[in-house]
Amino acid sequence: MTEILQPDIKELNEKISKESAIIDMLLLEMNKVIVGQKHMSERLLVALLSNGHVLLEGVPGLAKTLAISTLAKTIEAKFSRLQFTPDLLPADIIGTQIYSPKKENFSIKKGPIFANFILADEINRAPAKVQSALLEAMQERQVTIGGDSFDLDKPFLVMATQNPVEQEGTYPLPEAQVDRFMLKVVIDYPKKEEEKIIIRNNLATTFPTPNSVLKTNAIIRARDLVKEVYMDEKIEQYIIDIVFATRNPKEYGLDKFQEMISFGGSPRASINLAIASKAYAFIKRRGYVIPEDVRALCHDVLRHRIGLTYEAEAENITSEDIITEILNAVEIP
Amino acid sequence: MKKIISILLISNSILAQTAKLDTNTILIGQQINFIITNKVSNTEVWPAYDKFIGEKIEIIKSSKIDTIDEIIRQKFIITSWDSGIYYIPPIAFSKDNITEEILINIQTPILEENAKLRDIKKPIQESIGWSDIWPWLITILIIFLITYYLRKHLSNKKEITITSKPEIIVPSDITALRQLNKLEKEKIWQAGNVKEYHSQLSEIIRRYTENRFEFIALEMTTYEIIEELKSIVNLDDEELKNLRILLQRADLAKFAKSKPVDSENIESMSIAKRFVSSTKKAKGNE
Repeated sequence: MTEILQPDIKELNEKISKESAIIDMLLLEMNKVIVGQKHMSERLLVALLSNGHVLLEGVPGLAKTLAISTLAKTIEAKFSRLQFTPDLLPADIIGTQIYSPKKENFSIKKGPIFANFILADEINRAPAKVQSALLEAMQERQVTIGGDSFDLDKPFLVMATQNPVEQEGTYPLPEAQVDRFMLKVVIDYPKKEEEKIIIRNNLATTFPTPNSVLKTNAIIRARDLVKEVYMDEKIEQYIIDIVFATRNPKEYGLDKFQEMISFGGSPRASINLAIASKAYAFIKRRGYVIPEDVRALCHDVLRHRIGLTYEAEAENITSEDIITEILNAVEIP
Repeated sequence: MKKIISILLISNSILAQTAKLDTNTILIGQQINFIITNKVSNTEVWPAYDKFIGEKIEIIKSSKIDTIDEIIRQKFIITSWDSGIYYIPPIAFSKDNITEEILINIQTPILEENAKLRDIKKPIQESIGWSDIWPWLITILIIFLITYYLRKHLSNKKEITITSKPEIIVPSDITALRQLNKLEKEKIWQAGNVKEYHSQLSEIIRRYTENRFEFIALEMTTYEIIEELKSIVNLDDEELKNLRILLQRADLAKFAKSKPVDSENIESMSIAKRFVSSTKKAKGNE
């Protein structure tokens, strides 16, 4: 089949084919360390390329920390890990002013948030004020210490984790704050074959280490390119239909969900789905978005943005079920 | 002689008015008959009792006053609920005809100290009589009559036959071919609207696939449709390959500003028609 693309798309496709080679390099290095979890690795790259943040949900020991530290190593970027605890203070994250008796002045001590990649481990273990300090920084991409504002490093990616099992003594993130995460990725156990390789890697005398293959400015360049990825009006309409179906399922023939959804996806959901779809198209070496891209990311973008009612909980209906049904109900353009 | 006359007079007067009990000793609550009689000619007054005859002697039932052979008679069933010796006072029928007072001894039951404890007696089951049966018989009869009436009434009604025009189901392949022919005649791509042409072409094929193979093709991507077809239909590889080309070309036209050349536009139409013709249901199956 001969693709007769418009010159602008053709040119973009060529550019993307060239630039997206970095994706292969990144994935190759990450795959040296992370066995399986392709879904998680891909979503991390989507968030990285679309300037978003990721909320990861999975039981302990699924290589969440390893994934983001590996990504940081492959990009020659600064990595910080924040272990959220109930006694953590906002200053422990963003930094504080320290008085020097010798110099008789205050000096700024920047916190661990001044890094390119942040792993906020067990974010729901810290109280609300700490969570909001982090989430504000995520949104504004700058922090204020003692009246001085500081821009955060670029790229700036926060990967927060939540343990779905233990809920005792946690401070669940409010809906408004969860909405700040572009993607909520649910990760599962590796397959048998994958776990066999994980055991071998860990028992070997040397654990594989990733090479640093990229500089942060390559990511900035790729981000600019992602913005250029063409999204047809039909795709925009498809995204809007999906998000609107989460708000008014009845309009899309999903009457059964009308009483089960307390609130649907916000406009931020539509924006994030669009940006993430462009990044996904970039990862797949395309200069244009197709419905497959939107569908691939729908669950990750929407699962934390749909509020369920008690009726839904009583009937064991999850946001996953609702999204799947919506995808089966909304016509592809 | 005087003696004989006086005896006869006494006996006559004795026989004339009587008040008799079955027995003078009863247990508490035991019921006995108390009968009073007198000659009609000697009766000036007949006693009218309300509930009690004497102290603590209760009347359970009184018979009507009866007259047989010049003798007037009334029977009472009496009892007493307290132990002791009571008396029924004399009854005066006239000045000369007065009965004697009667003593009645009411005894309590003798308790056997060594006797075993026994259960309370169960209620006595009354025997089923006609009065118990007839309400049921009447109910059954009414039900039977109603059922009979309804059955007769309904069976007499004429059956209502709904006559409506049979819905004509146009086979999906006929619909699809009609739509394809219409699209071809409209000459959309020749007018420069290539995106619209491929959008419509793709939709016709997706709708046909949905109706023909009964899966949600309209809500599926090209890849998903091809995979679904692979799993449910035995289509040859060439046919699947051509369908993939058609759908992917349409995707590119729709989402990537692609402008297929004229020959590709014509080819897509012929692939679509061929796909519909080769996958249509055999006659009689639709």
